Amino acid sequence: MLVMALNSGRAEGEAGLKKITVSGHIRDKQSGEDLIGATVFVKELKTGTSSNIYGFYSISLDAGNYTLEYSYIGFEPVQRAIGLKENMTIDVELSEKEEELQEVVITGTAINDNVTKAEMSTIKMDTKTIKQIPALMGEVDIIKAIQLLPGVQTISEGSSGFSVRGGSLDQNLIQLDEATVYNASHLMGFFSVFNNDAIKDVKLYKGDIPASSGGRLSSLLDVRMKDGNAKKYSATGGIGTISSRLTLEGPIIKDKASFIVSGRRTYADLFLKLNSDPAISNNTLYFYDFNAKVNYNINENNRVFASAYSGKDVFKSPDFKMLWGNQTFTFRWNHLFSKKLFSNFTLLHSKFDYELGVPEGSANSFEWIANLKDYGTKTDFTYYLNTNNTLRFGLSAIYHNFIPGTARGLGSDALLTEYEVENNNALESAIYIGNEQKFGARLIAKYGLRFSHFVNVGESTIYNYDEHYIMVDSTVFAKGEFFSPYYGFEPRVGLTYIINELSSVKASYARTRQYIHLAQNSTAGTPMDIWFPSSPNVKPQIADQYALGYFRNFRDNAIETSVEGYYKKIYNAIDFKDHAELLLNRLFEGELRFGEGQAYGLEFMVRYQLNKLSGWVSYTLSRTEKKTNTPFVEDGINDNETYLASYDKPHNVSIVLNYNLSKRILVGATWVYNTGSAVTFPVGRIEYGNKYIPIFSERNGYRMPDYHRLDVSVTLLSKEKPERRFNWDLNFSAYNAYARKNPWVINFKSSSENPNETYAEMIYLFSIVPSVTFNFRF
Amino acid sequence: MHEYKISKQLENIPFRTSENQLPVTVPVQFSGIRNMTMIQTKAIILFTGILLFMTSCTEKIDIDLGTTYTRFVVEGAVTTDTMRHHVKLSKSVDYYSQTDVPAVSGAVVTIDDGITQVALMENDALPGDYETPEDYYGVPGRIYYLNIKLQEAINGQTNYSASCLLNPVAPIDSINVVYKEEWEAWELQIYAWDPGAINFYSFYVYRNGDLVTDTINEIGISDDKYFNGNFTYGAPVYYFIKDDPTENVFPGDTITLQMGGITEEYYHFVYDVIMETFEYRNPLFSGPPANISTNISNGGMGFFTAYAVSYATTVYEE
Repeated sequence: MLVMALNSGRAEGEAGLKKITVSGHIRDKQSGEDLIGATVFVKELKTGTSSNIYGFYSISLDAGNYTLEYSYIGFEPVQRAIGLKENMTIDVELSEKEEELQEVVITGTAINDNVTKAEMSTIKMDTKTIKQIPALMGEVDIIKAIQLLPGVQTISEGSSGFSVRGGSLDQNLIQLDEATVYNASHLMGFFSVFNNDAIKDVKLYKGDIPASSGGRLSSLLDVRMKDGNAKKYSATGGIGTISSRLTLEGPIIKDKASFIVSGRRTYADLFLKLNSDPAISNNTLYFYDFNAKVNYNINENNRVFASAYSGKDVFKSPDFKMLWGNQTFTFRWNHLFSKKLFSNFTLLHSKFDYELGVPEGSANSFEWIANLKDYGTKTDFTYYLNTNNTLRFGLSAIYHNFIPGTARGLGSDALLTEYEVENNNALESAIYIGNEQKFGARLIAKYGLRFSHFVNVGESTIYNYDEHYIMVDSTVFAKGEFFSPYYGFEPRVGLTYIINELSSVKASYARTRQYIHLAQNSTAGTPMDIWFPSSPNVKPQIADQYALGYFRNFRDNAIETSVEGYYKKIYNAIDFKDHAELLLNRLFEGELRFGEGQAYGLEFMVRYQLNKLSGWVSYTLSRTEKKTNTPFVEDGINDNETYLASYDKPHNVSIVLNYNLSKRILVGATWVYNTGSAVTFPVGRIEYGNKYIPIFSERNGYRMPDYHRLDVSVTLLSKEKPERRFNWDLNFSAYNAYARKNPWVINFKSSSENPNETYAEMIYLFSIVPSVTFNFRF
Repeated sequence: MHEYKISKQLENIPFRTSENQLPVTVPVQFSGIRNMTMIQTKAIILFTGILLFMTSCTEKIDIDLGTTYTRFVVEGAVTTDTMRHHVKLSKSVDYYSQTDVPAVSGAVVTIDDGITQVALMENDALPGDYETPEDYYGVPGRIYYLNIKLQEAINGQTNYSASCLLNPVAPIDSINVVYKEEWEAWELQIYAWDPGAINFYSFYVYRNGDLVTDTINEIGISDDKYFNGNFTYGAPVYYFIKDDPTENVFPGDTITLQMGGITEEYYHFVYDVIMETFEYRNPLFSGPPANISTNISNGGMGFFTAYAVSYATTVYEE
């Protein structure tokens, strides 16, 4: 097909029609921020393109007179009439729609990207939408918003972990400005690491993952930080129930260079001080986030960005400490080789680490550290061949350094000697090429091929196991020695057939390969994550996903509807044996079990952007199954019989409503409902050693009670006056407004008076949780 | 009924025995790492507690569990002590059944170590409890075979068997009891050499001749991965919790520690039991529940174990 594309390009060339290129950047007029995915439409030709993540667009046309229309959701479209004779650069700035204009029914220019764009299974959200969703303790949270989308299941109440189309939580690639965020949660997952004030745009790929991305099986959550206001200085901040935020941004050189710095810190520990129990009041417990970014437009053809994130959770008590956090750093250079060839070079670094320990001075003193570091580079090219073909190609390499855990005693009194789980290193690299090709006005094909390669790098010790997963011996690999390579192709294909302006059918297939995995046996997610590489004992996980969808818009695109079906098959799926010991265990690879998984489902979504009402309704019907294949049945999970994943929740409904009651009062409400997660419950009991011990059902053979919850919020806005620079809003929200007791866990117990009297007891985390947040910007 | 569950957990700090551990920890009571996991456990409970104590609640809930088929259960041990050794036979019941587990009587039970074979007699007063003669003892290095023939089939089977190697155990140099203010508990410390091979241990604790670790989930178990081949220098093996009046240690009390050289399979069995009898599971730190392992054939449950034992005694002084 690629050859076909190139041929068709040549055919046009041979016809003697020299193509001329119009290119440029599309930006927000108020802030100078790049607009990602803004549309450029050539009215005369009824064709167009859209801006990339740097706001850049390029379109090649025959010489002639054209009207270009630039549009972006929520912004006033702009038209430019051009007489095209030679290559042109047109930078366009769009203004946000005024409040008044939202009262008017949107006509004509509304955007039908969801219908016509050659991508499916993706959802883009801007921070404005996310901000309006009522949040737990008023902490606006990208990941909690993502969990309201069809095909996305929450792992556990309050958790930042999520499952996309039946994938496990380590199968989501979460990237902040292209650097991987390994643990996106704060405070055991109740909050995510993303500070909404510093974020521009979030896009979730549930399938149809572009060939330029890889390394995880199930999804890509692409989070982009703001570039910083290039026009004027501004400050945004908030004072909330548990945290405060402050963001400063502004031009370094007007319209050429800008910066943004953003910080957030919780003060939950201040409440602890109020507690009379010293066991509680003597503790420190907080987290912070810090985002910073600068960008510089060197000239028309060169632009550089540097962005950094650092976040940490700190928990300290007089005799114990536990800290964990993420850091990411990205440096990017956009370079235009020509008006048609856009390139980006990236250097990136990510780190996730945790440490726990007891301060020096007692026999118990120890420290335990674990971390994971990535050093990577990426090169991406976009070649805007002609109006019908956009080629993308590039390569990437990431060096991973794993320190799964080292514990040692501190000081002379310490009992503990050092125990180290061997460190590992690995090199993960990939090359890809893809094309997006239009066949006439109705059919768009997107096809690509990614080739990925993974190799372990010594020095390392690999333990070898027998068929019962018992360690037999070990192999030592020398420093710098490459061993256990894995590689393979990852084809990606998508077809979009546009039935008419308002409806389309799309289909896609993607193969994804995952080389690094998360050893974590809990259902919710803790900071004690251990990432481990594929190795002689661990094959890469591979997934094939097929999806088919129908997209239909109503009322001039004000209402977008879609239905998508998917089927996903996972090979070499990793699970953990019963009672697995994953922490500080050199032999943890022996705790792994391999098998396969499959997931399928139907997702319905209605997204609306009406005069006063916006939001969406989604419904997902799905099933997720797993199965291990061990040489001996007794070593498998559930005797190697198929079982449901814990996050298999057949019915899942989300309703998100944002209503502008007046210009100054916004009301938000979210209702979620899902089938209870699949769990293992006791069915019988035996007595052994004077103790009752449960006999369990098959793995995940029972269900928790159904989960449902309503969150509401009311936001009061300051009066909008043109001359006023200081604006504020005050947000009141209630999480779980009708105080539904949703079980977080169900434990089975024996009465202390009569051990024969057994009963079930649930813990529910939240009753109604009210909160107040004050936000300001100037 | 509202009760602040997490606050209740906080009361349990310092946690008492393996009964109160979160299953995330390795129940190692022999080594320094034991301390570490204990601290970690404490921290996790405290941490979760702090996070949730304001809002989370506990409530009884009706969950229909249905019924299940009956399993045959064996509990038996051969040690190097010369005494009556017991094998208890019983049946499982449905989880919500309000009854004791039924004993299995009238079975033919034998233990064979390849050299001698002994028939066990059912105790008239305790149905289901089968005993060796008084002069019976296990010999390190032998494999002990248990054979059971039932009068009536359970789950379609009348013959059940199990076998276990009787591992030797190192002597205990000495033990010591020290009150630890930070844990509000008396720490029982062990001084012993761990042999170079891979070893697994069980620990039973007696106070004035009475067994303190009288339920399976209270016994200590350890592997030696953190101290293989080393002297233990007073590693803690048990905590007598001050909060529990039955566990207080007074000056003059005689404390005895029995150390058993158990097999890896039995270590994992007890580990599983500790995990599955822990009552405070939660999604943050618990893996999915699963059935405990067994060495009983034909779908039976429970364990037949064999191990050498060594003892040490101390008198507590403040």
